[in-house]
Amino acid sequence: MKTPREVLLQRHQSVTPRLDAIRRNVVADVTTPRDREPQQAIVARFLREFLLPLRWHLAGMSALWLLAALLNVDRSSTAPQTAKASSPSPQVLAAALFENRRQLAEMINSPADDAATSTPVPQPFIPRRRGAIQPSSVAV
Amino acid sequence: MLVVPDCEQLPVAAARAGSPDAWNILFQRYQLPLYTYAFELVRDEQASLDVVQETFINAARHLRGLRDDAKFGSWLFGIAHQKCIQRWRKHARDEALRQEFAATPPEVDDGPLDLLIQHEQEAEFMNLLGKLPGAQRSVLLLHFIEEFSLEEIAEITGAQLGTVKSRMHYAKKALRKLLENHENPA
Repeated sequence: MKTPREVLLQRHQSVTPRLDAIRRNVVADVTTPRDREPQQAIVARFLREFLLPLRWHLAGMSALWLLAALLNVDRSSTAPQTAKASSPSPQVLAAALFENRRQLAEMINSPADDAATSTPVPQPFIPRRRGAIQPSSVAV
Repeated sequence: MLVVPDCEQLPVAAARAGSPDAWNILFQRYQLPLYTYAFELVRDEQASLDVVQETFINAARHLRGLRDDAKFGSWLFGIAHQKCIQRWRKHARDEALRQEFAATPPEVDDGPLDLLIQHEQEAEFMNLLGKLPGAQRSVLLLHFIEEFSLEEIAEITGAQLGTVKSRMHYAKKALRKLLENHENPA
């Protein structure tokens, strides 16, 4: 007399060697750190071949960038103060505006200034014969 | 007689840490039960071997996701069950199976089935097992092979507990009928 489990498992006992082979393959595949090694090797090679020879250059460049960043930060922090210090007061601004308007009104209203500042109208060009040219007009 | 260690003795933690010996012990413990389960469902030797291999690979990849080490067996059978379902689908039998799995006959209480099979009944037992619908066969195999509880079988197959109970009931009823016919031939 057997239990159903015994009947079932014994029925398939003959396939055990093939299952053993599958198990060995899977265990070998699973437990070898094949996936990790290449990544570590790539990182190590990158460090050794690229970063290590350029370490002083990279350090210098980093220092320069750092300095530039620091200077930039200092400048940007002082700029608003400078702008605030140089900005005129509202009274001065109002006086300047008033003066500007006065000068503009003077320029618009004075006719002498208009004549002085107006540009001369060019005369139309009339061609003449050579004989018609007066001797006095010829330069000696 | 097959000697298998208890679930508590299985080196699941060591396997999680990457020990090849631990993986060997775990896989050796379950390789034949898994194959038997897969074969009795998909009825194809090569496909069943593939299911076992894929189950092992998946288990090795996702063991970190297993929270309760004591549930390693049911977890492993759950993976194998999913692989078998995929095979079924591949062979365009999924529609009938889905209907089978979706059917929820009335829940009936039923005691344990303490079957002891005589040598001359073995072939008949296997024959009847093969004739059962896939869903009932799956439940019965999990019960026979690993003595999983109904709750564990529900987890493995992704079915409701009531559904598992009723499937178990009908499958056992069919087996009893066979045995009675054998003992009292008309």
